[in-house]
Amino acid sequence: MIRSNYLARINCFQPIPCNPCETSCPFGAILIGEDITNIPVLDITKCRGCGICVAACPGIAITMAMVTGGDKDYVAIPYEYYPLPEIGDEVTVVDANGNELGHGIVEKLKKPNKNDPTTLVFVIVDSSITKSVVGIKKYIVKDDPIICRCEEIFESEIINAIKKGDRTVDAIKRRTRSGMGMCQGKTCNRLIANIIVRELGISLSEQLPSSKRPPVGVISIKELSQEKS
Amino acid sequence: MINIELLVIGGGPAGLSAGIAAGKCGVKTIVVDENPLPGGQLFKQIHKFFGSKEHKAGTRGYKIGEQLLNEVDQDGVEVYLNTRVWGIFDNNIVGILKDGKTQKVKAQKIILATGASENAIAFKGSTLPGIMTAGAAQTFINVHRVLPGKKILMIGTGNVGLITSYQLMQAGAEVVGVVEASQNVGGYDVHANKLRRAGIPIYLGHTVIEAKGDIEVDGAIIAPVDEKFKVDKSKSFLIDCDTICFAVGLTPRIELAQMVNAPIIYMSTLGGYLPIHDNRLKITEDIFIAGDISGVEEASTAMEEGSLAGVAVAMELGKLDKNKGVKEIEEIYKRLAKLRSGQFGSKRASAKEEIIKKQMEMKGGFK
Repeated sequence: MIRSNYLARINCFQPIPCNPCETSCPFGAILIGEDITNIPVLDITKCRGCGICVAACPGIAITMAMVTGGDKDYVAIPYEYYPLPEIGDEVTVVDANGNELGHGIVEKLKKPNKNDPTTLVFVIVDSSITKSVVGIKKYIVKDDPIICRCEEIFESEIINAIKKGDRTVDAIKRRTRSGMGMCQGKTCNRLIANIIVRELGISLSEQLPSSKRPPVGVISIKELSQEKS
Repeated sequence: MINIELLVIGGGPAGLSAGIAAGKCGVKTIVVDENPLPGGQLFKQIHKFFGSKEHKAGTRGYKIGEQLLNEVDQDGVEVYLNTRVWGIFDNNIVGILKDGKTQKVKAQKIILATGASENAIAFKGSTLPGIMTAGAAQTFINVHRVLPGKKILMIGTGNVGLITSYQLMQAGAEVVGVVEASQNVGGYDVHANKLRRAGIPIYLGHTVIEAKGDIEVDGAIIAPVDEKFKVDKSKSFLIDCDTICFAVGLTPRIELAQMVNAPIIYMSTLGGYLPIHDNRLKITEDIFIAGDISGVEEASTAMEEGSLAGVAVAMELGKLDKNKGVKEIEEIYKRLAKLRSGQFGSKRASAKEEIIKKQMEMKGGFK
């Protein structure tokens, strides 16, 4: 087995009754014991840097860091907001109390447990701040309006889809689900077409309207199945 | 399965007029509408309509709606309310949802009179409660008789924005301003002047960049925009309001036309993507359109177009003498020409001509 250089860092210092970090660790590297208000203790000789405890901690109080010895280190941060940052994005990293420490670049995203939406965001940071990094600032500020209300797709997600090469309302729909909700794009199709105009300079007359198929409005499967003869 | 000669989808001014025109000629017609009341937007229109006598001018919108309903009744047209069309399939089979059950309707001819929906814009906070379309505000005050808010900021100076602002004031709300990104008022001056006389500021060359408020709107930040719609945030200011209304244009609802593979064209003057139709509003062999789906105009033009499509269907079904029908269509075009003239209407007239020209150029005619 390849041993990762990541090590967990536990930022949990109050005697709260909680032990998923201990029970989730497949290597027995975290010790709390019978009294679940004990403060968790990490055995660094057993930690493999798998990230399972990072995603398991209900307090979002565990991170992982890989200290390279160079200018830049790697920190894995649990993140539970949508939209997720994208690889290459610059994010603001903060300490346990939310004080801004500086910026980091997103290296990769990983979900240790595929049935759990908690995502690990791997961020490259200056090694001078590695020790203090506990989180990233909520990535999406309020400036980012929702474009597709039904599926809650933000403007930044539409722009990211365009950056990845999407050129049509339909292509963006397939990538982001915009326009696939209750209203079937009645509100957002036009907003997205206008974002394409703005970002790519493709005028509305050069764009194709998004394709439409039945059912054109909301209809339940039950209703569909009960055809009156 | 229901078999019928004509199915009209949408019971607004266009759909009802189509049903009336066809019903008068003895065409067995069903009009379906997804709303609990027919009339489309007419019953929200408490103002007197423009036009001339033949266009029912001077009559308030909801009264026109009542007249149309009476005529529909007299002409033996069936109206299915609370009935949603969810798809059109081959061989003119239409899927409808009525009383919680789906049903197939096979129609010899279909008229799509699905209308248009209101556009939105997006900015910081634009999904806060208290932000709605002008049409929604009209439904609040004129249908349900409830004020959506006390201090209202309107975005858009087209006739919808101007008329809705006026009606909101009549209903007892305070309109704190009307914001317009372009340098000119979009709608008629007579409507704008009603607001000016009431002391409502019209912020030309401005746009809303942010809605303030944690759980609902409690203000709007507006900023000037130049001719290229570039925002100057340094000159932004706050307007105290609890409601923001969008009156930023309408988009034709063409989904059903797309499902029958009608060729589509983009026409900015007429609201966006539209099915290409001929001079009898025909988009495929058996399907016609009328009203805002064929280009966003007004209720008066929608009613004329509805009559036109209804007459055209009656002719094709052999229920109306060809010569008589052609004459009627000529008369309708004369009335439409009056509505599509002048500074505001002539652009629509030429856009309409362009669509018909496109149709004539299409190879192979209708599918």
